Amino acid sequence: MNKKHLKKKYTEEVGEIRIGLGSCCVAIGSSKVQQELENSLVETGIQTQVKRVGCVGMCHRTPLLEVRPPNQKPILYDKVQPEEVKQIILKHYKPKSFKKRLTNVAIGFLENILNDNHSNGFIHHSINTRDPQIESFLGRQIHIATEYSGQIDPLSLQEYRSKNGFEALKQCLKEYSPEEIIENIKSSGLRGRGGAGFPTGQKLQIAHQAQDEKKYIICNGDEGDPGAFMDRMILESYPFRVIEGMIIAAFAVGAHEGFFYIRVEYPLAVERVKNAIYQCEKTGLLGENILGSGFSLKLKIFEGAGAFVCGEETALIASIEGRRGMPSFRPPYPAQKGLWGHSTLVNNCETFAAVPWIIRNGAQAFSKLGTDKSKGTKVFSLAGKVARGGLIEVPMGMTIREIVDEIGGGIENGRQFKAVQIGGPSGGCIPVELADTKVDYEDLTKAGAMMGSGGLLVMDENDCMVDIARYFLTFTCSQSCGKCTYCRIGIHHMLTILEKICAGKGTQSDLQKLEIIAHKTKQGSLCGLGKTAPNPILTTLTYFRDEYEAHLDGICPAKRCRDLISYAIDDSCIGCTICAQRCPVNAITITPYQKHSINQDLCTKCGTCKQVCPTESVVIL
Amino acid sequence: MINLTLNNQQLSVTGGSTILDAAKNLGINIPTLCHFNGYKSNTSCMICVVHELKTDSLIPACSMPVEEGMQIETSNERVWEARKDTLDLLLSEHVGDCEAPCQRACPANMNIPLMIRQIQEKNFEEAIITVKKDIAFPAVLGRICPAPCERGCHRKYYDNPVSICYLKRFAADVDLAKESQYRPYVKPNSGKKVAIIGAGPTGLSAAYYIAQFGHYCCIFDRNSKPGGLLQYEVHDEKLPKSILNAEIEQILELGVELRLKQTLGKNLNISELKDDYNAVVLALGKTDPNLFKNSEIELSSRGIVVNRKTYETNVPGIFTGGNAISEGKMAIRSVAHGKYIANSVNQFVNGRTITGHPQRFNSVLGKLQDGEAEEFIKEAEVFNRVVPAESFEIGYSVNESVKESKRCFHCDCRKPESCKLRQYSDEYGANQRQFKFGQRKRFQKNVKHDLIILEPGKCIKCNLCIEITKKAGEKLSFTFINRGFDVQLTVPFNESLNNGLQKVAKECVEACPTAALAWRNGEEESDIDKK
Amino acid sequence: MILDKDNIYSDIEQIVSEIGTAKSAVIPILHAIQKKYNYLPEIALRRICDTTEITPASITGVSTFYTQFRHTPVGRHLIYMCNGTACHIKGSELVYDAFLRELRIKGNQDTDPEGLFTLQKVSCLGCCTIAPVVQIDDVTYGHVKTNSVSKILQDFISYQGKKVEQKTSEKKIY
Repeated sequence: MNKKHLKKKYTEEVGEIRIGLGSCCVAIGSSKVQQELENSLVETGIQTQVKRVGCVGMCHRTPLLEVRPPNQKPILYDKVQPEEVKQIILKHYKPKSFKKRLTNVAIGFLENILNDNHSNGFIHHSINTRDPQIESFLGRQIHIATEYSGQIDPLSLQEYRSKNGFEALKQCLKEYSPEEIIENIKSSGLRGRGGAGFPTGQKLQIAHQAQDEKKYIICNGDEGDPGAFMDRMILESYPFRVIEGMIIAAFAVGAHEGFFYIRVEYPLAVERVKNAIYQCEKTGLLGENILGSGFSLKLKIFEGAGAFVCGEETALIASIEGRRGMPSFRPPYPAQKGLWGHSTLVNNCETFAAVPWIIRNGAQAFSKLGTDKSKGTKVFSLAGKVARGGLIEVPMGMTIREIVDEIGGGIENGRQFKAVQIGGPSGGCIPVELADTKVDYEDLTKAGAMMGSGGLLVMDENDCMVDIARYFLTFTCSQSCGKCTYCRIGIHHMLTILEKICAGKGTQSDLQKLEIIAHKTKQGSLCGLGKTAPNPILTTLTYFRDEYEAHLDGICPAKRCRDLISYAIDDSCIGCTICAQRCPVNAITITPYQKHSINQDLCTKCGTCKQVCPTESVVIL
Repeated sequence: MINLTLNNQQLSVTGGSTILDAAKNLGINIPTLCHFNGYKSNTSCMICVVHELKTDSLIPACSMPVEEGMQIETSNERVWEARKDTLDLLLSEHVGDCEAPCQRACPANMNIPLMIRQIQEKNFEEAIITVKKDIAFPAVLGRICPAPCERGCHRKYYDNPVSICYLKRFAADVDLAKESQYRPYVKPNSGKKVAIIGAGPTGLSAAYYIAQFGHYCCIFDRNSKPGGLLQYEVHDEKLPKSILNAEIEQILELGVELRLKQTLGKNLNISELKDDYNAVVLALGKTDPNLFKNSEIELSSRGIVVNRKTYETNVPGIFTGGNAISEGKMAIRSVAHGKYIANSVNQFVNGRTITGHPQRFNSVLGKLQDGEAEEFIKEAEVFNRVVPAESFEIGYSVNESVKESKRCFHCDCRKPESCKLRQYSDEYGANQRQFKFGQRKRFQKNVKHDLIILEPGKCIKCNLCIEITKKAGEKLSFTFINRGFDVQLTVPFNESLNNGLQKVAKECVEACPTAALAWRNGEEESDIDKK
Repeated sequence: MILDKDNIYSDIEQIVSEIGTAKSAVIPILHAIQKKYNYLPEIALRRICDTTEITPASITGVSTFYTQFRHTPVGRHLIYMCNGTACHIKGSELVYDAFLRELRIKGNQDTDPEGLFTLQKVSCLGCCTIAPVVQIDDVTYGHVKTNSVSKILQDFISYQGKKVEQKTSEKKIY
């Protein structure tokens, strides 16, 4: 019997416990849970398999622990606290000896007492919201780029291969010519998932046809959108998948050298990709003569250094060449003349991740999904004021409302759905009235937004649209490379005006100029950053003009802009003095059993009183 | 070969050439800032956009290769507007003055900084030429002018304005004291005749410049002495008559005829003068409306109605200015009007279109922010205003004026003529205030070089000097630091400009489309071989 | 850490021998220098220019372009305040202010008077579902509120203590 078989048998006997270890999970304490899990297993002598898996997608419920006892239905535990781990295991497994069982009961009892007051104050989650796998969250998703989501160990090459991993590559190397692969991708209708949606097959063809003895391939993982984490999750959870897609694409265009360009802010992604490349090199999947085909490819990792503009392919190339990440005029396109003057294929990691699936399942299976011009699925990072945020993959053409309501579970805390921001700094705000807009390249662009890299941020009635525009312009202003006139100066001016408006000092003429500059910057900028930076302004001006007008009158309808609001305490105050004690600037006098009041001259509008008030007596005026 | 249409002309050009190249072949001019022959276009300034009709898009001509079937228009309304937008944006981050604030404040627009630099170099002969180019009465005004120029002077943010008025007076006094005074070149007689009514500051000033154009000038005045208010209203202690008369004499020496005791309505008649002369200037001072009761000349409550740009009245060939159009208190204003009238008269008698005083585009720095005076003082002496040792009546000595002149901040641009940004701003009617929001960038000067000055605030980020210094192998070639709106041109590691620019200073100054890099001595002496 | 010239030179030699001397090595080299010193000392940058093909213009231009690179020393620990969109709409600005207050960081400074913590905004840590997020060195905190800032700092400090404790106790056992 081989090793693989042995392991499978063992798993059948003892079951396994899966723990999600994406960055979100780790951030919220998964590694502590993992440690506790391992300790508990040693302590109790329980025999089972602990398996780390990539992102499950249900980031809103991390840390996640899935217990799969032998011959039982799997149970998913969410928001697991380290101190609860042992109880969970003991629910499904029996400790080995009677003595251990006895001590465990005792310890469990003691811990329960101790833990009653153990909450450390910043991670409050009730544990009674637990339920089995959430059908509606996962039900409408189709996993292509994120195939086997939450099921496989990101760094287990063996497991990846057991799930058809590298089958597509084998097929390509053995059965297909580069032209056939390109034809296949073309007929699948796959478009670049990085934002602009350029047809992938066409890009492959240009690079394939380029007369260049040296060609490069680059995986763009420089996810700079400040509300998106698809690239990170894909690289962290499916490194082999992206590598496989890259090898296939490299074979199709004839590239023998390539780079993973990954943000330095994603250390876990860097580590996992590095490890995955190493494993591939050792097993003949990368390097010279891949799988005996005669085709060779060397992949390296290049860590970015903090520049959103490097998501633009010419800037990304400049960065790899060791220059300031400034875009250059296209043509020539990188597929013709890119890295060090050679033909270079640049694609987003999600695009590469889709390639093996298309090869394995056929172009038809992919093009069957989606809309007329946008085929297949798209990964989104769903976040903001939605009840269930996370990494999701849905077929193109699903409406925004379906995503928010069915997958996201609607707005958290029962508030009103106001808008979604889609596409990050390049995208726009789509109001609830247009929530039936289909998510595909064309319809989003028509609505003034953009697919972008796939950030999908849900906003409720408490979010100020002018503030959102200001927020994004602050971002793009800090990220503009400063090369071309419109982006460098236009964005700065738009931000200055927005700041003025948010401070209640804007005028009608400011608003007019804002709109003028927005249109001109969109038209005149050199690269995508500048061309799309005005979108957050233009969409909010289209759909929420009344909010801008209100700001001109000194009113922020969402009560969000700090210069236009004040805090006050209403009559329901019971005089408990908590707010007064917590106020960092002593703007509230400690007057026990009397209604408190806020000294407006001292108040810095930090919101602490509102957060700590037990009777919700602090109101924003 | 690739076939395309450019401004409705069919042409074939070799593949790989840019639209800019194609346009050059046809002799069509497209403005460029970040493009320089021999270097790869940076495609950053966006001034060179042209309109491609098939895709209805604006594309940068300097970088876009020609494509089969393109239909390009290099200058239509859309292109024009886009170029103006580009300029407006570039100007909104442009930190610096084209003309110095003192010169802009001067009603006669005299080139004050140039005069001051000539005094610094003890080049007094040149200084009086500079002065008299715009002011016919510098010795007089040096005594009575309220000096609006000094109110504009940036030196006030450091201590006190430069004593511009005294320096001008010094330049004039030095000249008057000489045996052979400065006498401007007078063109050969044109055969044209101009009548000027009124020998006050406006009329005399007009005569001074009209005469230089080669036209015969005759001034009529009702009084027995010339000078108008200067003669009769200004106290002798303030303005000694000898000074006034000496400067009037300098004017008359140019061949100007003076006829005194000639009163309009009595022994003088406008319509007759109009018949006898090619043009008439009404420099009457405060005007009695009754004089024009039955005349065709239009009047308002303030005085004679005039085109404020050309100084024409409603009657062709009759010009006016000074107190005749509205009462003012400053003699310099009248003197300035005289100069502008002269220009219009010259255009009129030569049958040309009357354009008025050409208003060039001027970038304006505005109020200095905290710490900016410290940047300016890098090129000036730190001591406070020089007080004339003798007395204010006598004015500066040679040493004193040279000393005072060294206080000048040199706010005026080093490349007022060769700056492409200014040239295009004139051409496209750019407006620096179009996109002015919030606080402007800080003014900075880097003068740590023997010959060159770097003003980062005037840089338009064209990348040319960076490429030139890199190509030349300068050890500390230029670089940009930071990004976005904060991008700035600098020498690496904050090293001095001298260390950064050792080989290709000349090339950089010539390639720089603005005055971000310029000769410290400006355009006047831009030849490096002279040094 | 004492930044002695000889030490730096030998560190640089090490870094260059690992990464290479090509012009394109500039970003990896800068990452390595910053990893070593937590910022980019000018003397190290100048040394790079002396020992590689990288020019002063390149190293100056590149190191000031990318936001990861710092030219001034930082506190012992780095607090990254996530300024991503999700964090923004969940009030990261207020949390940032709370950190400034708690650490008594004034004016244009970014480091507390004791030099213990440097506070820095980052564009996104990619943990949008647990916004607002703060990362101190390698520890991430989610769902941060203004009034939990001092607890977080306490927790972090005690976590640091535990790390040291753990190391010593491990030694004891083995």
